[in-house]
Amino acid sequence: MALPLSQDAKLEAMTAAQEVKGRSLWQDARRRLFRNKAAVVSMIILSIIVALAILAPSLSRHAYDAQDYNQVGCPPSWAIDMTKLDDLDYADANPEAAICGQGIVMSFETALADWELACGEGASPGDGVVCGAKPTIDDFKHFLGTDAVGRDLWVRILYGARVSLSVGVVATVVALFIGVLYGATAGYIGGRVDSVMMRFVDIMYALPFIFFVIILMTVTADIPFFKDPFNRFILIFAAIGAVEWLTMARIVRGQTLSIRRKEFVEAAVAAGVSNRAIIVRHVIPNVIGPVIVFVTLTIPSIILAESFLSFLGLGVQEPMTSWGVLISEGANEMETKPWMLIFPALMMAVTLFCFNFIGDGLRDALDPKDR
Amino acid sequence: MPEPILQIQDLNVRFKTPDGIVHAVKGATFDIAKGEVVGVVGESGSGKSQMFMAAVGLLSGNGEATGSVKFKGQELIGAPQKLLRTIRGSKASVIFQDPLTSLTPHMKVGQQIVEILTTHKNIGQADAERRALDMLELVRIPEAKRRMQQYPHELSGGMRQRVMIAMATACDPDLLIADEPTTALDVTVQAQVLEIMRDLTRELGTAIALISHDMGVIASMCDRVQVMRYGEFVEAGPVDDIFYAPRHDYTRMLLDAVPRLDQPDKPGHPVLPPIENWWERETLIDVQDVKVHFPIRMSGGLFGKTKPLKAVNGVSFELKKGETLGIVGESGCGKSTLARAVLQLVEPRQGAVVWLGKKDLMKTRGNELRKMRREFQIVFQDPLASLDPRMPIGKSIAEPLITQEPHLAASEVRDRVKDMMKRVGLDPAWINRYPHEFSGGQNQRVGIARAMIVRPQLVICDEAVSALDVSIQRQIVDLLMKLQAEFGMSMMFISHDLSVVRQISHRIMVLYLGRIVELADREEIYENPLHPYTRGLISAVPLPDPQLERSLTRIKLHGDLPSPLDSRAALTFLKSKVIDDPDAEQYVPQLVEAMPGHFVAEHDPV
Repeated sequence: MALPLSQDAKLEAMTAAQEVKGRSLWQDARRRLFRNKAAVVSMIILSIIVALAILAPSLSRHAYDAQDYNQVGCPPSWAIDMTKLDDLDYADANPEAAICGQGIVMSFETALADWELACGEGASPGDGVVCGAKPTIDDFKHFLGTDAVGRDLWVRILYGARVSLSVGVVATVVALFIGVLYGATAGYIGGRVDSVMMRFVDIMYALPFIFFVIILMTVTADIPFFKDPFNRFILIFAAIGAVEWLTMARIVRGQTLSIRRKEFVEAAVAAGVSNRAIIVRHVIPNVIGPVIVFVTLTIPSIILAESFLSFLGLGVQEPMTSWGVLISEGANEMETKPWMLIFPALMMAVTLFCFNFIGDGLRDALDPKDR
Repeated sequence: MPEPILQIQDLNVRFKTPDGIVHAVKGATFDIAKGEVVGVVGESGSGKSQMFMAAVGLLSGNGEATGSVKFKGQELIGAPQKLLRTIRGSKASVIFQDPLTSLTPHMKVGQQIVEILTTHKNIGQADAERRALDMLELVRIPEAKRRMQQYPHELSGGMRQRVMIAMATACDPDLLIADEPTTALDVTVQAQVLEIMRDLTRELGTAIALISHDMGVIASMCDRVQVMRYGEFVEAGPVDDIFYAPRHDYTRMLLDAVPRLDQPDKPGHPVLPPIENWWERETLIDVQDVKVHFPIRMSGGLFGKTKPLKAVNGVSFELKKGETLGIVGESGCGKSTLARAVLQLVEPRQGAVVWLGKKDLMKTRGNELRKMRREFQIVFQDPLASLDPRMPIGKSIAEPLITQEPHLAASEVRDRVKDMMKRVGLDPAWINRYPHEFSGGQNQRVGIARAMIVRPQLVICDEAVSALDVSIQRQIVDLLMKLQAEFGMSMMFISHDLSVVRQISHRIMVLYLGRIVELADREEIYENPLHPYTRGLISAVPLPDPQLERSLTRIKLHGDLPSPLDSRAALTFLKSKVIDDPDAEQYVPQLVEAMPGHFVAEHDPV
């Protein structure tokens, strides 16, 4: 005998039939979202940033923690990183580009034609040709410059993106998990349980968030276990997630309360559907919309919180980096090396913009009142 | 012919929507003369409201109006906002359907009227206040002076609508555009509001454009009628011609669909089969002294105190197998709460609901109750809200079935769902469609299919047709009667619309503030109402018959429903027994059997 299908499986089997396809609210929302230009552009930019962060190690020859002692505090330029010249292959007989004494890259033909221009006055062919190989520009540039100890800024920004984005996403998932569970429970049970649970949230709200995290971070700073960069990482997730779930819980509770009062839930109760099935079948699918919106708006706020902690020196430790650390360093060197502040800040601003635009787009797309 | 106040010439309204351009009004042309009441009827979506919104420049941002609208010879289409504002406030004012949302919640009502007067009339504060008071008295608001100092939420719906009328008429407008002004109101209050509007035309010569879907209201108010469908006028003419000699099929269909209090069994529609041998039939449910008292927290003291709101206060009745009991009453009388108490959907409840003479549902709990639920189902008022927006309708219909009969195979469930969809007049191929893709009437069919799929013995229809257009209303009522003939279930049909209740019910129960005031056979209660409240209620219903309307004298019920929190309220019709203390335990009027099967609550002679 075949196993009896569960109720939900049966409901699924119903819609699998070859019938006129309906247009679900999700499909509607997707269509509306893709009509929103700001959101679509943001999604494209954000995926580029994410791809860059993932591919960071293979995008450049520089390591995020390698110091280039010859180029400390070097401004952004397309010029060649002189330290790398030792590695070049001088044997190439027919080079396409030449690197001249002044660090200028030009075609070999041009250099041959006017040696003095390329290598300084009085130079003759052969003199001052440092290299005859085919260096491609990408190999050598610090095109966003280097920091105060000579590390490539571009690579550090990408590694910072890895940390900041993953803190943002993981802490949001933590907040989502606790918040949805807590909020849905409070909202569904209601009554006194709800009051007690929500008063606890209110008390948590009253504690200054930053204060709480700073204490946590300072207290754990001396514990050997948390000295390990990875464990410290986890601690940051936990600290931020532990605070961000409060708002999530409130949103989910509010939504659950309003959905519980809807007539279609009453109809399900009247049909004798069990509480568990009502939550799974009716409450959760209808809560998801606002939660998704809130998630896209939480990620940037967590990225900001992380960078704030790192700015205060409580977050990620050297040589690991995050956008907050980079901005903090940049701010110290702002007067002499403005690029160290401008580029990480720009990167972070763009990312936050993207998340916010996507969040707005999702809100417009999912809001049923828009229909 | 007097000079027209409003001349609409070839007016077109188009809306840009994501799904393309919607042509809402297609070349409308008509005039309204001074002192005339012109009715515009049509079903929802026919463009009747948008036509007037376009005329006074209140279209929403994605709308565009072309053509010509002349107000006293002045062109309004394309006129500057400044001009439109002056005209809207003082010469052509609008009354909207929902009186709560059209008043500013944070301003006292007196102030709101004063603001309009000082803006448009160029008079001082003191004069404006005096005039505002006059206006409130003109629309018969009791204790007008005190009301001036109240906020909109402190007033009842009918009172708010009267304030709206006072505001709209404060500057002596030449034209009043009333967009479904009484749709949200109870019949007795509706009768009062219509009376006020009638007086305004008579005394001030105001022309009224009355937008309504209610043929009764149109018949009792209008001189001329414009019938609108899909943005076009299909018929226009004097009110008597439209009602007694309709030329267009659509008008005829509309008139045919309108339920008439005085003609319950119209030809061409299913006729209610009488219940024979009522006394010998098996009793399906026996409701005994059901009470639902909600504790309401009042301010005062540190933690406040609670006072019971007696939503349902001791209701007893029997329902036989195959019988339909109509339950009528005005908003707040406890009819929906009673339904939910019978269905065990509301806490806290007292009393007994005995099922088939054996089981008291009030004492059944948990799984046993969940299993019992297949026998009694409910159809809700708002068809869209009662369906899960994220579920295809097929799943919604199947849910009670798979819950109650978990042994059924998926294919069987699908067959049953499709079969039920056919029976309620839905194409079974729509099984995977979503509620937002359907109209209100179709969604209500889905709601009925969901209730009927487990073949319950009792179906409660809670205002099931109130949110629908008349023609759809008629179809749904016909469908319910057809299904009852097929399945033989009993029904409790709750409505505030007495005419609809009369069509479908064998017996009718009138509720007033949580108690039965009269319960009788359907012919008996309409032809021989004994309780003054029932009489007032029946008399307040406007009939879709202009000549009858003109000749009728109405029995008037004055004022609004008293607050159910006040214990004196229940004795409104038995003043001789009242103790003048809002918190005192009051005498409970008893139900007396005046004639066999005709029960009426005790009341003072009128």
